[in-house]
Amino acid sequence: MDNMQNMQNSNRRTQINDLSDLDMGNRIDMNMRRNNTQRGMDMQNGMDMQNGMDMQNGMDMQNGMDMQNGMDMQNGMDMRNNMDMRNNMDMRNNMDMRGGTDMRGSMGMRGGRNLRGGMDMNMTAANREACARLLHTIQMYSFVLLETNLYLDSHPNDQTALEYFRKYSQLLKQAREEYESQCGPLSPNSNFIATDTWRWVDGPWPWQPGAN
Amino acid sequence: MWLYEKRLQYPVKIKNPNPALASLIISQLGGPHGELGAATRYLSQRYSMPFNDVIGILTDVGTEELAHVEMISTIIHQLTRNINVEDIKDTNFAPYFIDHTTGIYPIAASGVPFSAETLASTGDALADIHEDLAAEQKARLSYDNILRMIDDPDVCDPIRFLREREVVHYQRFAEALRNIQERLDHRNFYGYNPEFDRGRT
Repeated sequence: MDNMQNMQNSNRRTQINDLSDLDMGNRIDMNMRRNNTQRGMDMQNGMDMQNGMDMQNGMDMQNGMDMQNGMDMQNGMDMRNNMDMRNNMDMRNNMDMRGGTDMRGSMGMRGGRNLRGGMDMNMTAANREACARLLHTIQMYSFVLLETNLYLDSHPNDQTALEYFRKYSQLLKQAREEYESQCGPLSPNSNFIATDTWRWVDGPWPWQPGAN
Repeated sequence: MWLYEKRLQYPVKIKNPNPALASLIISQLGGPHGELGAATRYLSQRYSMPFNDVIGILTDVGTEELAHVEMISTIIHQLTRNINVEDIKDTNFAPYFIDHTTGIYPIAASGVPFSAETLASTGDALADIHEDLAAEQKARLSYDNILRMIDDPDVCDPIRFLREREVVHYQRFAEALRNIQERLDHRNFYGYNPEFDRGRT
């Protein structure tokens, strides 16, 4: 929640500086590409940008949202601020707590029974990086969809917003599939839940050290 | 995080209103053994729980309890729709009506509003799971008592479903307790609190 708070506070500041910048598509696109470059995204470790996320097409704002037609950016649906969460919600900081991940070591286990932290223990550092990045993407798309959802609740016939929602639904679906195939199920409803063992209860849970 | 699905876990289709009955069943929303307390109890206990499979049980049961909150609220709503003041005046629903009309408000059958004092989150795996086992039995007996009071099959049916879920949850928590105890010191599993005394062996 702290991250969300920071994100929103910091975005509010961004908004004041950039009120004239209505081309949020370019901003988003640039943000994502910049992040990907700076953070050295390893394509081989999980993020196939072309199939998985297709930033360039998916985020093409030219087809997305015409600000002047019905979307009040400042009050109704400030997507630009929302999308800036990538800069403010650096999940990687949270990842740097991995020292304490081994529950078996820290819990004073006596019976030697597996704590079922299995997936977490087997993941390589590179996989964790990829998973953290993918989860970050999911959080971004989900938040965009939530904001669009809320806007549509009171503007149900806004075709631009509907199209926008569809587009991000598809992007979220792809990102979820990619995440779940590599990093484990996000919910018991996942298509990737039915492996040879029930991985749903494996750590880390979102509040635990090493969570994505 | 949570996502909402626009459906009940089990169908509730009550044809005949019965505000007096609503004022009894509402205890399973806001009473000491109610679903709101159950969801809050389990979902809050997860953070200190040191065993991931038990966290899974607390998450999944707690999530199901949220669905039960919706089912009980639906039962109350359907028992109090299409009624007029004459239907209420001489019933034990009248005091509730004064403050809440036919809105849904979490309250016990006794009239006491929902209180977090009806649940515990202790930061101790053994204490929490024992609390949960007792809570499921208390919810089960409350449903038993409700079933003693009613004969409308439209109401009995979902109430029986909810009662059965308490029994199933009890079984799962019993397994959670067994798993927790197996991982502690067999000779003295009250010797320490694994959530707090980390690193102690």
